[in-house]
Amino acid sequence: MTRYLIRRLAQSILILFCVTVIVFLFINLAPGDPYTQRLDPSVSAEVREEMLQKMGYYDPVPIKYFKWIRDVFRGDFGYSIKYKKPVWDVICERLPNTVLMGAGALILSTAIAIPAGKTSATKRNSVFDYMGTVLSFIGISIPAFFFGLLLIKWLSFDLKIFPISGMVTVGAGYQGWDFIKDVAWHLVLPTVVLALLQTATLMRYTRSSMLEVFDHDYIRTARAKGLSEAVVVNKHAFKNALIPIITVLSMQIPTIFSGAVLTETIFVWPGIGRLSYTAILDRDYPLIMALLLMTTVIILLSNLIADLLYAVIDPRIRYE
Amino acid sequence: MSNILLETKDLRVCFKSDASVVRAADGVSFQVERGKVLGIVGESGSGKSVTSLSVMRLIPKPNGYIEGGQILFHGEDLLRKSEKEMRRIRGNKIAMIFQEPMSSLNPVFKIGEQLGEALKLHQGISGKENRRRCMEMLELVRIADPKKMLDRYPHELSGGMRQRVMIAMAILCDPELMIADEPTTALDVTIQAQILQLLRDLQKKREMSIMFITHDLGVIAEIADRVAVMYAGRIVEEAEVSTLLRSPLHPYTRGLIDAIPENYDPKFGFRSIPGMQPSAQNMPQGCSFAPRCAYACSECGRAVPELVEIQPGHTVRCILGGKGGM
Repeated sequence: MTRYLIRRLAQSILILFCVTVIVFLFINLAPGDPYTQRLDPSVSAEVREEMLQKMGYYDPVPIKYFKWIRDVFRGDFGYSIKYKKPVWDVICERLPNTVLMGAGALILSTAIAIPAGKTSATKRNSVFDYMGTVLSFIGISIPAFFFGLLLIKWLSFDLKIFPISGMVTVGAGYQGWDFIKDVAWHLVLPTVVLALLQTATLMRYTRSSMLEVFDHDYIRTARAKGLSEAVVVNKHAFKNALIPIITVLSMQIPTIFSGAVLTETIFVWPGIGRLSYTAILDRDYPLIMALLLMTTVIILLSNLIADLLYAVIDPRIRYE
Repeated sequence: MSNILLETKDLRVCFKSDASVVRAADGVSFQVERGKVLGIVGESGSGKSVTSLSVMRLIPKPNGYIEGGQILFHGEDLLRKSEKEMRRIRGNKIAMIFQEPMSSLNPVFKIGEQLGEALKLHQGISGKENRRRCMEMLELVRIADPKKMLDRYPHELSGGMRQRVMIAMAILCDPELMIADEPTTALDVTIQAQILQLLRDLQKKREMSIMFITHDLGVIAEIADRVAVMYAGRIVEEAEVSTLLRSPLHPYTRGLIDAIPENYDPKFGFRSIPGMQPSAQNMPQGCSFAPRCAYACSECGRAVPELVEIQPGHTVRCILGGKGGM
């Protein structure tokens, strides 16, 4: 087990290295420089050249990469060109907002999808099952930006139940409990939009995984013992159905940290997703690299955690 | 007190498929006496497993359903019991073991957990006492080191071991009736013999009744007191096991006995019954065995023959009244 962990971690570091090289290369090959977007056109070309020189824009790519990775190893992710402060500080400012929304959506979708998927499977071909199927196909096929805009138009603009965008009411200056309520109120729509797709996917997986398990002989054994249907479904079947469910969940965990670009952009949510989007537009290289590094680490970690969870749930899976 | 523990009367079980309804068991009637073993023998698709599952009311829903008849356990009709009442009977008064020991245990729970569950449910015994009772049962089914066994997972055991665990699970609550659905089919021959021996010992010791389902007449000969032969959803012959093996009356039974490899006769070579069992979708008119029967006459196609008692305790479903089988 320890050996397996060490091997997996070593692999992860190698993957991480490859990812950083590739990403670094592509970003640097893209046309444009950090000042194309923001500098006043009246600034003279010489001044601009000098600024670019100073930040090492004309260094060869390998040198740039080397400088960057050297700093990363020292725990220094560089200085954001746009925000004029350490990249780490910029990310730390945004991260809680994204985690709030991502975790909210994941909890919401899991709380809905797993019971609904189970019910769909136990009452196969019932009205509930058909409704669930139709709804989840809608959930899977409707783009987040469209669903988001739909909700904004309907619930925020027409009915004025929820705020249109942002995370706090601008200029209200709420404190304490009022602040929490204000954020929660802003949180509802983006969370629902983000949760929709996750719910739909997770529900389909739960349903099909449960259905597959129902066909096994040990389910008949469990019934023959006299166990109630609830115990048969929730204990004997569900634990066996968990592996695909964990796989799907582990793919959704990175979203909690890396943010949902579309959802955050539509709702003007000050999170990591929107930060990544603007960082790319602004060619804020240090910020882009740090964000990508973070995302990669989280994806690798959640895969590792999923693999370890498989072994916890299914005793037949052992890592040597 | 009546000596009959379980009795089915005219049991009919159907399965719906897309277009048609198929009757898998058609008017099955038999009795299981207290402390006796009834063997039900037949080939795949003869309705023997379906019959056993209906006694537990575990016919796979929603496609399968019991169309009619009665299943009397202690004289009470199980078909009239609520699901809740049935749950108190399953695993408690009537226990079942299955054909596939490899897949009949839940792979993600420890043996101790899977065993103890029924005991906790039916007798409210938990904790240390539960573990002690489980260990006792494992010892009874001759598992070495039962204490260790409780903490193992099914995939760590061989097929024979798993079937022993299944048997331990079945007798844990001291059932009056055990339904054994081909419990030895998936095991190799030496293990088969051990499991049969074990079942027989347990049955004698605990005065349990067993409904033993198999396609193997050799196994029937070893374990059963009475035997019912099923063909295409109906019982075609029923008798004491020695009588049936010595003087079968139905041509089908005769064919089955001839097909036992031990009855190999150099004159005929290995014998088999020509043809195939008719599928339930296109059941022939009249006697369902007629198309394969060497003694069939035009009379056979007219109507399904009644079960007739030829000698006391020996019934047969054949218009020749047994003359064809001798």
